[in-house]
Amino acid sequence: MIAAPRSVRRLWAALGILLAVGSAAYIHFLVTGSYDLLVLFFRNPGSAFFVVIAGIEAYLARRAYSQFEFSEPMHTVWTLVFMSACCRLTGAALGQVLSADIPWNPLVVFKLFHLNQSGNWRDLGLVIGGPAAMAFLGAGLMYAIVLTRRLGVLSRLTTADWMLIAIIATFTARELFEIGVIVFVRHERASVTQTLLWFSDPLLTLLLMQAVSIRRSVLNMGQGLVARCWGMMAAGVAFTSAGDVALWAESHGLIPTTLSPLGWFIWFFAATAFASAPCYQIEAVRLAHEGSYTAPFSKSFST
Amino acid sequence: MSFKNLWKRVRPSDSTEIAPPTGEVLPDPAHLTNIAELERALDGWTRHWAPGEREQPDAQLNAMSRRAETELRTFFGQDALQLVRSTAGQPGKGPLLLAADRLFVNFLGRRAAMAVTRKLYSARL
Repeated sequence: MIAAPRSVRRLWAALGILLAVGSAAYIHFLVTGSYDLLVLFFRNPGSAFFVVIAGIEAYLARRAYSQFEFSEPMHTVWTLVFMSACCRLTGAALGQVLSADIPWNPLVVFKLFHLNQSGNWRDLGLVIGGPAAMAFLGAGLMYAIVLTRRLGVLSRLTTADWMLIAIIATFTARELFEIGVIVFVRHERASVTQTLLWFSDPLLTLLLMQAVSIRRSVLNMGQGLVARCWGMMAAGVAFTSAGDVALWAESHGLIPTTLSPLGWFIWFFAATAFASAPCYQIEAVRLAHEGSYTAPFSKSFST
Repeated sequence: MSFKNLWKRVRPSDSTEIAPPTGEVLPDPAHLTNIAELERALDGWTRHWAPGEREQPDAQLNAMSRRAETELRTFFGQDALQLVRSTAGQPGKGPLLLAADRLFVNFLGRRAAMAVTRKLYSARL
C-alpha cells in the first residue's frame, strides 16, 4: 500500500497537536467544571485551525481542478469542490473570526468591531459555510457518481449502507417535523438565516447518500491514491453528519453535560478530511508524471 | 481527443522495422519535445496497423499491460485491477490497456494520462 502523501500526514499531525491541546482543555473542564479553558481553546486555536485548514483546502482544490482541462468531467467536479471549499473558508472567516470578540480579529484590532453587528456576520458565516458549501459539494459529488457509474466502478449499496442512510433520513425527518411544528402549529416567523439553515439537514442526508455510494465504490476499488481521495471526501461528509447529530442531541439534552464538548471536536476531523481529499488527487497526478519524461522514450521531453 | 482514439494512436505495431507506407520521415523519439509531436509520431507508426492484428499475442503489448497493471494498482488499488481484469479480459490483451486508460483519463486528466501512457510505451522497449 502506498504511504499517505506528506501533505496529508502534515494535516493530520497538525490535527493531532490541536487535539492534544484541546484534550488538556477538556480535562481541565472535567476536573474543575469551568468552561473557561475550553472556550479559550475553541475561540482561538480552534477558530484559527478552521480558517487555515479551509484555506488550505481551497488552495489544494484549486490546484486539483487546474490539473484537468475545461472539457473534462473531473474539471467540473473539482471546480464545484473548490467552490465548496471557498464557501467553508468564507464561513469560517465570518463565523469564527470576524464575528468573535477575540484579540486577533482584524475588526477588533482596527477598532471596527461592534457587538450588535457580530450576530449578522455569524449568521452569514453559518449560511455560507453550511448549506451553500453543502450544495456545491453535493453537486460535485453527484458529478463524480455519474462518472463512476459511467465507468462501471459504482457499486450497489449494502444493507448496512442503507441502514446508515435510514438513520440519517430519520434524523432529517425528525428535524423537518420540528420545523413544521414551528411554522404551522406555533405560527412563529423564522428569520431568513434560520430558514436557510433548515436546508442543512436535507442537504446533509443527500450528501451522506452520495458519500456512502462513493465510499462503497472506493471500498471495491481498494487502496489506491484516487480511491483514497474519494474515501477522504466521504469521511468528511460522515464526520459532518456526526457533528450535526451531536449538536442536535446536545440541544435536546440527550448528551450529558460532561460529554457534550466531545461533539464539538468532531468538526476538526471533518475539516481535516475535506482538506486531505485534494492532497491525494494532486499526489496521484504528480506520481503519474513522475518518471514519464525519462529515457529511452522521451529523453528530451520538456513539457 | 477521446481516450480510445488516444490509445489507437499510442498502440505500437508488433514490428519496429516496418517502414511507414507513405515513406515519410518520422521523428526520432529521443528528439520529441512536446505531446503534439509525440501524438504525430505515434500516429505515423500506427497508421499501417491493421485492425485484425489487435487480437494477436504481442510481446510488447504484454509488457505494456504489465506496466498498466502496476499503474492501476498505484492509483486505484488491487481490487480495481481485478475489476478491470474481469471486465477487460486476460492480461496482455489490448482491452485491459483501454480500460486502464479510460480510468486514467477520467480520474487523473488527459495530461496525466498521457504521462502514464508514455511510461507504458517506454515499458515495451
